[in-house]
Amino acid sequence: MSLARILVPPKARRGDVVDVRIAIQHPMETGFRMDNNGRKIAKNVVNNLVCRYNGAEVFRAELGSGIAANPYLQFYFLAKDSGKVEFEWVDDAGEKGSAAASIAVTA
Amino acid sequence: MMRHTPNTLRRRVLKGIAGGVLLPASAPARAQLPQSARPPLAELVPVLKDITGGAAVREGRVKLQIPKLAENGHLVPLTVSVDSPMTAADHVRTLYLLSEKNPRPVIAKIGMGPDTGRAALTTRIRLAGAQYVVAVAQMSDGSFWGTATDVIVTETACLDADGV
Repeated sequence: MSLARILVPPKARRGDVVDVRIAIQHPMETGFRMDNNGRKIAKNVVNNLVCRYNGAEVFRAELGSGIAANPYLQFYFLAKDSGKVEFEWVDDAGEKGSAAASIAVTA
Repeated sequence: MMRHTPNTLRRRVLKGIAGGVLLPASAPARAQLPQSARPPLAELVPVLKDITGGAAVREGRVKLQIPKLAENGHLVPLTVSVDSPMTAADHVRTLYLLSEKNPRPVIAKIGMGPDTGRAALTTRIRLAGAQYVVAVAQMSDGSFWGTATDVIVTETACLDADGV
């Protein structure tokens, strides 16, 4: 399970576009590097990340080796109701990670 | 190579990016540019074709903010935004970030919808050398819009890719 830091504003007003940030601790191994014995290090990147807001998908990213190590993404969603913002991701090795935060939406 | 102002060069790149596939917003789909007028973005032609299925990519609506000079190719900050109201009727469906010279040209494929609220993304990318970075957005009506920005990279990422 990989570590991540997320930033979701705790409060918002209905109709606001809120900005969320996520930074995942991951080497984003390109598959082009060699180890000390000259063997290729297998490609291993976080290839898929999904953000759901109260169960509905608001953002999806398919990432490649062109994303820097410790991928950082800042994006937006439309605040509608109080609830949960969930992030889920998976890397090439099949390792999954997740993070969640709650947001309180006022009228 | 001829000298160009940044704007005319960018326009030439956009026009030539897929041999006339990426057209200025006002230009009707017309014959392909002659081979000689095609600037060096040939690597992206098949990639763009895969994405658009041969449809025209018009210039505009997409904005790429990326430093002109990136000191470290392993970590280049980038913000891409698309001029879209992000309503159910008119929103960005998919946003592609492409690199001209990276060993894998598709940097990221982003799925969005009306619930995304704003069609923008900030991230950090790797760049293998000075090159053009291209962003292409597919709107909910199926049309494609794009832009290309050149970046100078002093320390390149992916040195090992060339077997160095």
